[in-house]
Amino acid sequence: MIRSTGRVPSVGDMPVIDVQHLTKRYGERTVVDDVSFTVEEGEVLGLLGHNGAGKTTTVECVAGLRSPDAGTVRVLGVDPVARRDVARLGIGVQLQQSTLPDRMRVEEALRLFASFYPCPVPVADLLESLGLAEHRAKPYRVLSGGLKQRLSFALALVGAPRIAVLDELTTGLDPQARRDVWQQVRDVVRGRGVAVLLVTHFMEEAERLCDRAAILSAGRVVALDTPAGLVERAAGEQSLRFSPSAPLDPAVLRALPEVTSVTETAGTVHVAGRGELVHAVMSVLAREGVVARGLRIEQTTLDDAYLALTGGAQDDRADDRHDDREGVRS
Amino acid sequence: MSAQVELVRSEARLMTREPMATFWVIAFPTALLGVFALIPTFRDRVPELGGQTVLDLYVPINVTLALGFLGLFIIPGALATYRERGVLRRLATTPVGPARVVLAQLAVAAVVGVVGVSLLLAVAWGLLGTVVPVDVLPFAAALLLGLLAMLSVGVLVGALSGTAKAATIAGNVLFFPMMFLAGLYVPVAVLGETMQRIGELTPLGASALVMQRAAVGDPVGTLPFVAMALWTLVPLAVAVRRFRWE
Repeated sequence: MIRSTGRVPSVGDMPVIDVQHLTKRYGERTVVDDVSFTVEEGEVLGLLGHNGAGKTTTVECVAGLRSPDAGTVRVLGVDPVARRDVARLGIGVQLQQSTLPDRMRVEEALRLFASFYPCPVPVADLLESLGLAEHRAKPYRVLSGGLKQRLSFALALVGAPRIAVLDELTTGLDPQARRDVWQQVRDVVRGRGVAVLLVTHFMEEAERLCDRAAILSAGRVVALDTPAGLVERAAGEQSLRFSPSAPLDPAVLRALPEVTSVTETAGTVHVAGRGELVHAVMSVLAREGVVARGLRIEQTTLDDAYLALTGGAQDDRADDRHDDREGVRS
Repeated sequence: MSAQVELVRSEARLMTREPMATFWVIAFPTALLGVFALIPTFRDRVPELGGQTVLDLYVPINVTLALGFLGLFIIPGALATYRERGVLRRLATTPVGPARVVLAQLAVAAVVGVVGVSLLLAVAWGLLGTVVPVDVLPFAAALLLGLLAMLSVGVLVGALSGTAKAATIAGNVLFFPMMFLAGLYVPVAVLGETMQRIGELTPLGASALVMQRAAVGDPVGTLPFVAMALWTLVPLAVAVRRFRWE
């Protein structure tokens, strides 16, 4: 028998989202390939990847919009397709490329979506906390991109879900609007103790918001770690660039255990390596009496880590095709 | 239940903000009848029409015109737009699901249709003095079944059209033959026996024909009712099975 709606089973120590060996194909093409991850209560997990890496399809499986071809998805302990009734009460979704009717007003949209849930967040509170109060009477059509995303975020939260799934929340926003939205995600989501599955291709977004991030490439999870862990794993590669004040024998630098490569172009020396690279190189230069002019130190960022882990430019090309496909599908 | 009520209220609100949508169903058929009423010969009694005037004939035809706009443009356009813009997909992630918003749109569309037809009949009978039906029951039944059939056809066209543009094209392709067979462009009597038979099998043709016969008390036959019932059930059944939610 179907349990009365309105009650979500307690999951205790179980992860609120548990995805194991998820595989999804469209025709011949496998878009999600053996993907596993969990999201714990109150955690923000990022799904990173190029367009077409399988992020949106993964999210759609979590949201119960698609059935996996293989593997299992559990949301709050239940199968989100078979037990839509339970899963949909506990999960608030912000979908990419999902809009509202042009003439629907901000507050109307929130009140309408609030009526779908047994215990919604008071609409007035949401309007206030997301800075939508002054825009409440505006029709959807005239809202700026930032306000549309904020409204979409508010709609994902209005049912007081335990999980929020946010797909490309800040794509297409200008840097200021993006930062505003990030602040709101931090304030509202963490304030309410909601677990978040955040899909993004902005590394900065992942660094600022996520407790952990999974990097997807061509449908597979190539790394799953904290943002700092991903950076470390990707390389430890650092590099220095400088113009030596006097001629310098590259062999002296190559002899250092920290150094992996030394190249010289047009009077600029480029040293790559790991560990205490900067200290080691500077000690040698001091000993040789060489001053490093215009010294620049480049450290691995999550961007670099991401490129290293996904195989960089090669994937970009492949993903252009995926883009087209996704465009057709949605 | 309260979610369904809110959805209907929301759709009704949005409909009142779409003046063009309501214009074609509510205002246009009545306005067109008003224009016809200005043509002097349209008010002459014609013995071949059983003593009716041409204007009398156009009352049922304009009723079907309102139903045609509703079922071939308003409903498919509304559904396809919601699909295209991801509204249905978004609703699929909520506990109420997307089917409820389709029901809400149909409910609102039905009300708009009833308002349009009521205005038309009130003006026709009250102001223009056209013939008031002798057989009220078959007249009302033909009107109601015609409305239901066009709601059903509307859902089917909207169910299968991927985009609002596709829905508009499909609506146009269906609109002209259906209105032609209902007698909008030339009287059905001029079309010949075969075309009349075919017209009787289309939802709008059947509806117009029964209303015209009932107006003067002629026997209405059962075939048009069977046709309208099938036009109500079959498209709806296909739409339910084949509805594209995204």
